Amino acid sequence: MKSNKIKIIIFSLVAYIALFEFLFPLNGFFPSVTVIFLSLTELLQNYNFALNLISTFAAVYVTILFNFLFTKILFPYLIRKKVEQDSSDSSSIHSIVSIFIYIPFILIALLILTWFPDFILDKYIVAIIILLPKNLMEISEYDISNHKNYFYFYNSVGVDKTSILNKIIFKLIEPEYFLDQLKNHSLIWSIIIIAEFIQQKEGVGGILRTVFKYQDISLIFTITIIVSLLIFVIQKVLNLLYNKVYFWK
Amino acid sequence: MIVSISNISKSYLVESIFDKKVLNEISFELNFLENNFISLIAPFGSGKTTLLKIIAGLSKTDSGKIIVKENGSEKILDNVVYIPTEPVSIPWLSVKKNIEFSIPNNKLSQERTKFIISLIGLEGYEDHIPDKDSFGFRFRITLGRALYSNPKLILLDEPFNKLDWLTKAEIFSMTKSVVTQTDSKFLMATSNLLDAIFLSDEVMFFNKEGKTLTESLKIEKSFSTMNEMLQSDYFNQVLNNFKLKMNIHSGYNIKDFSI
Repeated sequence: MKSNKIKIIIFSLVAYIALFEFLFPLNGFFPSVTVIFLSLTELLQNYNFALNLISTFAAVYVTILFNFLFTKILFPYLIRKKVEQDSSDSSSIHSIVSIFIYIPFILIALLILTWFPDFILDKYIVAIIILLPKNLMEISEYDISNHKNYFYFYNSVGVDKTSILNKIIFKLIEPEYFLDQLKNHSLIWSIIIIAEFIQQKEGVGGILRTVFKYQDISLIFTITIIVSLLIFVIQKVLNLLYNKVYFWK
Repeated sequence: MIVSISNISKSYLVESIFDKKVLNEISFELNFLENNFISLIAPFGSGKTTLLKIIAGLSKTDSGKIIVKENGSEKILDNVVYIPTEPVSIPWLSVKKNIEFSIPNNKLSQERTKFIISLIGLEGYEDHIPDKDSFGFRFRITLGRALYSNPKLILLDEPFNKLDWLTKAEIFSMTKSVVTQTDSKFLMATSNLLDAIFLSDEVMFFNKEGKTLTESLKIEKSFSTMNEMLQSDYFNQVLNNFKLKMNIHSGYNIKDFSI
């Protein structure tokens, strides 16, 4: 399966080079590999790409970290009733966060970007506003019936309920949460880049805005490739990290 | 100590629509003055887990009360630990850290940890992380953590269901040794007659409506192995007596597969 994937990637690369480097170098849509390399140099020299990439990178992972912290703080309040109730009926917990379905968080985020165009933390706030409700809804739907036994046992040995929820049950669902974050990974990148794009601020999105203005397809293409590669590599690293950190799962 | 359970009823809300009565006016007494280990035998779905959770104070009753008669006075039952069917060892902590989990610093002692680890037969495994271990291993850890709290009563909710014969024999031998070496009393809910007779000093039978069938059955004989028990006349006598009391209305379904 893995070797098949590698074969497909190599074949696509060779096909791309053959098509757009040699057969159709001036097609107006796909830049040749030489042009992509030249664009990379241009990005680094004229657009301060490295610094902007670091800014976007930091925004993405700070957002993920804040989301995790907020979720951890809110977790006991969200899940307590679900764990404590005797029956398997989980409708009550679901109703608390299901209200988020009806709130247009993306529009609220756009409003914030419009209201405070010069606010430096806009992109962080926008990403949190969009992602936190999504995370909370995902968490409220986790099947924790197997973890209820931990609650009963540790409660009966005298451990306080908040400690059980934070130190045991949250930790037990952390691997699932981590996997959800991996699934949302490219979404978070997209949100941050769009926020930067709208505000035309520091970051990859800001560069994209300028590049769009000049309709430089080769630069857009190069930025897309770099960001995609970066997400791919980080995703792989996070997968390795998952196996290390959650060795017990 | 005598635990007196009187008129306990409990119902659950099912799918937010209707009440399902799980326990209906249950009354009986658990005599821990003469017994260290009592088993409640009841068919599947008769409300054993609910009853244990109520005794542990983890679930509220619709009606009824539980009191403890001790030294001529009556008080509310406290310091009860509930051990669920699935062991609840924490998979990222070592055996030692599991056993000491959330014990206040002033109550932590190396000697006690050592004593408990030896009781549950895990010497040499103190730093082992129980992430991929068997039910038996994880049950030992769970029991160890329960014993650290020095409870008056330990409730076992069908903890041996998923054990193979060999592990079961080891765990039974360990449990018997724990019962004799600690002050804690044990109450086990099970649907397995063999487990109950082997481990208990007294067995109580319930039908599917949660009413006692017989007051209790005192187990007069102690067995060192399950084989010894199965081959004894005493066990056959108990089993025949049990079969006589069981009928279709009791919720037990005893089939005779002998040829």
